[in-house]
Amino acid sequence: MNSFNPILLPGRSHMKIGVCIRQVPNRDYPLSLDSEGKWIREDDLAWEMNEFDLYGIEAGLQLKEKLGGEVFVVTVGPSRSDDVLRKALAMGADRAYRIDVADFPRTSPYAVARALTEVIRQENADLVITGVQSEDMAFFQTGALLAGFLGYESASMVVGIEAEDSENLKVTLELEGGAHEILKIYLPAVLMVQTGWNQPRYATLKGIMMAKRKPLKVLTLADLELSADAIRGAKGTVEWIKLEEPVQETHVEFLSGAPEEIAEQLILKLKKEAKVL
Amino acid sequence: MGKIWVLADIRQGQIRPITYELIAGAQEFAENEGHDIEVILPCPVSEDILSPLSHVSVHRIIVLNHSSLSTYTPTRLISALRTLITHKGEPTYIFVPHTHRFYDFTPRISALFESEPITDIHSVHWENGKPLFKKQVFYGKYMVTLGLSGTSPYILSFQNGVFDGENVKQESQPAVETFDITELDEGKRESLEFKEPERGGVDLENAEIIVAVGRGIGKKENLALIEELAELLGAAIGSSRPIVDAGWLPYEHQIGSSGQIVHPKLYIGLGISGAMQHIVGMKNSKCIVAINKDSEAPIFKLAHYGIVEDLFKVVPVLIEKLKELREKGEL
Repeated sequence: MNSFNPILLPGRSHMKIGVCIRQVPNRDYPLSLDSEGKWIREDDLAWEMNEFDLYGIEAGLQLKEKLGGEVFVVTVGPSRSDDVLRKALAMGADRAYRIDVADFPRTSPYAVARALTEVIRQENADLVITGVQSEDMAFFQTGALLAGFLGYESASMVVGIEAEDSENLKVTLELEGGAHEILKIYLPAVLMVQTGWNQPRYATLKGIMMAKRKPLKVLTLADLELSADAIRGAKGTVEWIKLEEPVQETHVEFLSGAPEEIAEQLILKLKKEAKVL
Repeated sequence: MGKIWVLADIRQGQIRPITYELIAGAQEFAENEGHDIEVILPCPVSEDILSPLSHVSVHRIIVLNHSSLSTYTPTRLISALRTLITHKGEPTYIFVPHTHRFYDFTPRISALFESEPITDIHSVHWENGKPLFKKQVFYGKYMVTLGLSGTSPYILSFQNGVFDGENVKQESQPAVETFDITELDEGKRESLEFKEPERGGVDLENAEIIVAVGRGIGKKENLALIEELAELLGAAIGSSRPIVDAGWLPYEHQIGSSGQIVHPKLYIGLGISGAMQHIVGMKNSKCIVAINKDSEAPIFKLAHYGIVEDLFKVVPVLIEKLKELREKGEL
């Protein structure tokens, strides 16, 4: 196993926090499949920050305010994902990296995490924060893969972070059914955060203006001394085969008409057919 | 031919049902590909909790034995499994429950093996003798089919309900082996306290009728309408995660993997799209009504009655009709 030598030495008052973020399609836009049935049509979509990552950025900024230090953000994506990096910079992050997605296989969290690992290593971050999942793909992999590649300690389903000192954090995890575990974690570590437990700040006008002058660096795999092969699993690899609509699991009856008719039908069905009223 | 490791989900000294589902799945894989099955208990346990496993058709039950494993941390569990691999060799597959506990385990052991995992699996089917896996993507509006290439070990994590845990084959008596871990990497994480859930008097698990609200409710003020509907129906109010995240309802109202698992005779979902984390908490409701203006919302795939309409057009009329019924004594 990896031996844990905290990068952040006792007495060092400067914490380096890396927050990994992702741009996802807005959930309210209608989606349709591309001609191959392997992906969605991207032409008419609106894009936004993965909601979980907003909580991650807020957590990183709060730690920086308390302990001192800096927050950098990093994403893997095409040029449109610069928008979420700019948003993070406007919220208060100091620097941003985008690893260009050109040489990536379609949707491989493993490949994404391999590339992110190199940026975190070069930055020598004490703390890495990711969302526990992306809203669109929901693989729940990136943060824990990073912990594995980096040899950092980790915790998932984080719903609370308190800074004890610059060496360890008190972290609350959400377990199934609403139970919680409170634990102490020593840095360096990766924390994967849930939604709903802090108040992600809005970017101020000043923040937006300042973000324009903050560094945003675009990297290729070659810049990270990686290749399209090197970011894939040396053993098992996962193939993305096709997309399809989910199957209808029940016999569903759609009720339509004016609201008046719908309400009448529904009450009748629930009383006479389903017999649940 | 190799072996399949099934990682048991143990909570509060009990083997959780998903463990049996994964054993049933491993039996399916063993039939198709001919593997031995070993169930790995990730912590020391008392003998009596093993009794439900005493006749399941698996080759071996291995109890990882070290006092520090009693409290889960990913580092400790991975360290113990490394020792096990050193002594027993690599498995072909590792089956892991996709539960909160193991969210940070599955990818970490995949990183160790340099083998890409498939996580959050919703179903498995076989084509030309090879397993294919489906999972939800794009907010549940699509399912992706994923396949495995390259070499083992293959690491897979499964949602609840992928295999039928009630029908685990029980035709043998597996050997039980206590595997002592002498050297364990304790890692850099110390558990301080466990807190039981606060229910605050909201008992959704025993409710006969539940009116559940999601993002579609728009703003907190609109809850008054939902409360009126719930009062007329004698229903409890449930919600999806975004509503409790926004602070519009306390956490006790949440249905799903982070909240309560419910099985009312009538569930009415209002403005709920049906993310997997919510679905796992309500899919066993007897009658499911979904009202959502987005016809693509995945909740319609498991509804019995679907209404593709703005809930603010339908619910007020529904309330009026129910009031009329009540006045007539028919509700």
